[in-house]
Amino acid sequence: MSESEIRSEKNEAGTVIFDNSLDITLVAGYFEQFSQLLNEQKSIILNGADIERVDGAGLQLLAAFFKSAEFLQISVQWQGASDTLKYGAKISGLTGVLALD
Amino acid sequence: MSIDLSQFKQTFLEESDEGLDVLESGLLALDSGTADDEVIHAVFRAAHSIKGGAGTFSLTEIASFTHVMETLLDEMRDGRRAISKEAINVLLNSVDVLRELLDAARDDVSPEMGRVNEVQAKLEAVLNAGNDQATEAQQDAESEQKEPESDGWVIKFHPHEHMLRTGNDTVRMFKELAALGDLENQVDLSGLPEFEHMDPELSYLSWTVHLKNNEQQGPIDKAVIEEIFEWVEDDCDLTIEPLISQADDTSTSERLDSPQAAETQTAADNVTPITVESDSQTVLSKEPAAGVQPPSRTQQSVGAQQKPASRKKKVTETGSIRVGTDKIDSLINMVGELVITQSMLSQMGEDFSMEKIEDLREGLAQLERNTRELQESVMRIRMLPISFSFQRFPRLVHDLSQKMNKKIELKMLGEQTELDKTVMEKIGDPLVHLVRNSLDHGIEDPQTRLAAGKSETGTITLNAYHQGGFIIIEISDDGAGLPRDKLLNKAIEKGLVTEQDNLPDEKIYDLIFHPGFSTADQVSDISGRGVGMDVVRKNIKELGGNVDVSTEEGKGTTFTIRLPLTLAILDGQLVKVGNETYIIPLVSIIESLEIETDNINTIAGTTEVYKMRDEYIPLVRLYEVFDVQPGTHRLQDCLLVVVEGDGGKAGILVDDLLSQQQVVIKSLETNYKRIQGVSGATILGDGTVALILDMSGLLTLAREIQPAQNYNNQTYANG
Repeated sequence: MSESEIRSEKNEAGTVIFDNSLDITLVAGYFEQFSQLLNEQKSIILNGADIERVDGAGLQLLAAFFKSAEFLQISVQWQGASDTLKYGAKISGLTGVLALD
Repeated sequence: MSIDLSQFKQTFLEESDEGLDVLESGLLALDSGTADDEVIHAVFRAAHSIKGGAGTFSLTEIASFTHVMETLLDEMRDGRRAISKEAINVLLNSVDVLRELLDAARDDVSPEMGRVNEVQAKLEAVLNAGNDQATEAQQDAESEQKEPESDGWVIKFHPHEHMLRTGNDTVRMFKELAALGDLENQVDLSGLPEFEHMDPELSYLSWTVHLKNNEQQGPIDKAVIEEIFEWVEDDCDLTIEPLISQADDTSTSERLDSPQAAETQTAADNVTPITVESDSQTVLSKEPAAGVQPPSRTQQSVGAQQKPASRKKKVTETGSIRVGTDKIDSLINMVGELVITQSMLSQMGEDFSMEKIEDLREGLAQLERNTRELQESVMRIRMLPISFSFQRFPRLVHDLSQKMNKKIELKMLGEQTELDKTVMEKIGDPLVHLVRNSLDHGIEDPQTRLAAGKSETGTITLNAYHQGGFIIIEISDDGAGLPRDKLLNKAIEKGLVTEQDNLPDEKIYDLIFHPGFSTADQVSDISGRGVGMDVVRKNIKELGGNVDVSTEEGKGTTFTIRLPLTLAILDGQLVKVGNETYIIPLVSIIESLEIETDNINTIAGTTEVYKMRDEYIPLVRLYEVFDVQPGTHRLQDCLLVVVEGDGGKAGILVDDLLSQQQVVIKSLETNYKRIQGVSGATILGDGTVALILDMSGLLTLAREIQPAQNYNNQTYANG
């Protein structure tokens, strides 16, 4: 693979659009998806605008994902975040970790 | 010559666990007034043994704590002190504290002394009650004076690893706390493992919550906070201490409460934490020490981050098992038979001729018989009576019925029914939640029951029995039952069903296992305080079992759990896809059929569904999911295995059905790594490895491959 191809792959952002729920029944699926994105070393865009239900497992997964992305120097940005998600993060002390402030 | 006592410590801890069970059941019997004199003697002896053993192993905290218990029990035993409800309650609390102290001793960590001291003070207060009432009154007055000075509470909350899996949700708890006053929450991320090594359903975070009184709501009652954590008291480490006012302790409160501190924390949240082992706690550091490179990913996972995980495992799952000598004798018998058969076959092999072919066949048949019997005998060793799991419920019912001012009688049937130790350990939490649900939402308060023409005492019955290769556990109550119409209306409101759907009653009641119905903001009559019925069902399904509900409004509810007797062996259907053999658990299979291509439709351009009688089920091409070369791409040459997983049906396309057989499950996680859609592997008779499919995971995986396809919870109505 040539250098330019690698660069173009790196520049292409991976996007995760969450359904209306981010809870323990779904974290295994998102975990696989996040693992794949982290392995691809691309910048990542998250869209949580539709999230109507979030629980501790969902927030913890996001926290671990953000920490890992930071460690790997992968950029993660929110394209949208619902009030439910923001409030869940806030009362769980995770606003800063999840860059939702 | 000195003796190394450490080798006996494990035995002491196991015996102490049994002693605590004796203590607890004895105290409950004393409380209900059904005990004879021997019970108080047995309770005293149990406490005395724990104290003596603890002294031998230099476990001074346990020894000194048990000494106070023993003194109180001694006075009760001699008749010098009446057996009061108050004393029993404090002694029951002491049993909990002793459990925590023993767990700490087992893990070689320092115990959390806050609660130990609190309960010890209560024990001493009961002891002194007769002698020094004046002192007690003074203590009460002092404590009453103290509490109003507090600005609120500091709650240190460290969920145990498995807590989220039990259906409890931290977000819900924090919401309830936030409704009481001004909440500031500090999260500790140091327990988070490296992403690729985390199990997203385990809990790794812990929190320090500062809950401050505010003017509108006034002082917060500690009991209200305790109530929020009531469902997780066995699933977390929790301390609730008064928030010391700024005037009293500037050094602490400034750091915790000032806006600058909050900013510092937010900033700290955004950096990779470094775990530093210190005497008592982990420390979050904002930056790596100068000149020190961040540890490599491998080092992190092998080092500090994995330590808590392995430690917690020891707490929840005991590593040894007590086996009756009859089972050992039977095993020895089997081995004896096997040796005889083996020697007979060896002898035949030395001087074999074709005339002996019948004898050889007979010998091999005997060998097969011996092997099967030996296997069954070994499996029986892992079987324990379900009373090990049931024994926690008398205490639970005692405590909760007091808290809720309800009168509840607990009946336990089939306590000697045996099941595999691993299944028993994993079914504990779902059972606790179902019983708590019955207590909380099933059984009505005495007034309501009397008004409904029932006796004021409600009954919860736990029943266990064997049926086929399964164990059935029923949790029934004679309470209010599930409100059919409320459930249906809620489902319609949430768009899960339409008014035209005409659901049968059992489907309506089954809605309580739907994720949307398990949170606290759902139908109040059935919603658990953090109890996710969806998670209960999910956990039971992970064990290869199922849970159903039957109910009659006003009469009561019965939850029926069906579980395999063991997780080590599984009845499976072998299927062929190309050169690969996969195993589908028989319990997941509804039926298998030949494909009629006319019945295949495509919806939304990508999703293939198969019309089976009056419903459409999504098709899963196994070769696509696992990226293998199939034997054929022609659908009419394939077979369809209709399975149920994760609440929905799907049709698995396979090349061929092979035999059905019992397979011994080998853990993929232990030997390789976790793979979605696969629950384990086995070695077939020809030496090849076959993967055992996990239906829930497989259907999720298939859904991810074809996102438009909804395999979950839905079948499509005909037409």
